[in-house]
Amino acid sequence: MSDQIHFVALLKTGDSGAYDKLIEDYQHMVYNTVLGIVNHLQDAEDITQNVFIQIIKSIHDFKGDSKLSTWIYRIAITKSLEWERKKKSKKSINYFKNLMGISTETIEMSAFHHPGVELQNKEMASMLFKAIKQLPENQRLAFVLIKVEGLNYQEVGEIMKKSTKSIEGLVLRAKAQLKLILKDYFTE
Amino acid sequence: MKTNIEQQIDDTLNSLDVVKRAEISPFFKTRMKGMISQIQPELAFLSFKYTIAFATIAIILTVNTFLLYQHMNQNTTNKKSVHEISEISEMYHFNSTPVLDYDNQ
Repeated sequence: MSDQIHFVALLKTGDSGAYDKLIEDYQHMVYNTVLGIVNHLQDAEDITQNVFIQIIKSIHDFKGDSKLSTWIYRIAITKSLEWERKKKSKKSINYFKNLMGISTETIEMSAFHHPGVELQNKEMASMLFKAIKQLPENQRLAFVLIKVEGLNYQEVGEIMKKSTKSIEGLVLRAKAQLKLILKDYFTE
Repeated sequence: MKTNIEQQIDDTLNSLDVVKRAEISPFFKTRMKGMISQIQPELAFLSFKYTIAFATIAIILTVNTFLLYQHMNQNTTNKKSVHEISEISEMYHFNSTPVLDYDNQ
């Protein structure tokens, strides 16, 4: 914990070495979290950039009440959800433009293949990511953080500011919901 | 005994159990460094924002205190001069009843 205090103090002074260490230590964590939510490789990298800029800009607001990683996870989630909302509104605008013949921009609907999934599981994982997208936000976040990021219930609870019990509940409901969605896919 | 569909659903749900971490582009760090140097002036301002805020508050409070002190000082001077005038008027009997009462003449 004292290491963290010292590191955060260095970041607050604008030390370039501290910035390097921040990126080095957290780039994969942020990228994987964002990727698990937005399911798009290039967008995930752009959002990861924004996350680090946000971290550096608002490091003075970090009070040290939680672990630095918890705070970074929260920023990564917020930025990913913001990006999703923007993309959704852009999609609906494009849809109406296409209907009215104003724009010919295509609406991207490609399947997502996570680069960390083994080849034999690629199709199933892609289907699962598609199903995860249909979950309510809280269930989706809890499920992604546990399944993709490999965090435990307590860590997810700290990030989402919820008790371990409620995270367990969210994951259980997410699994039940996913079973229903997947059943529809397989019986189609 | 699980049906074929139930088995497929379970397999799909477990397909992320052995997911490895995705690797970000090796140039990411270099790009980030470039971006950070671009926003450096903004960062310098942000790191001083609390100092600037406190300095502004201190200046406002000092000016206010000075103005209040001056105002109070002026009031005391006014009271003093009123007191002096009343002393002089008493000395020369300006407030006493007129010596000549024209109405009763």
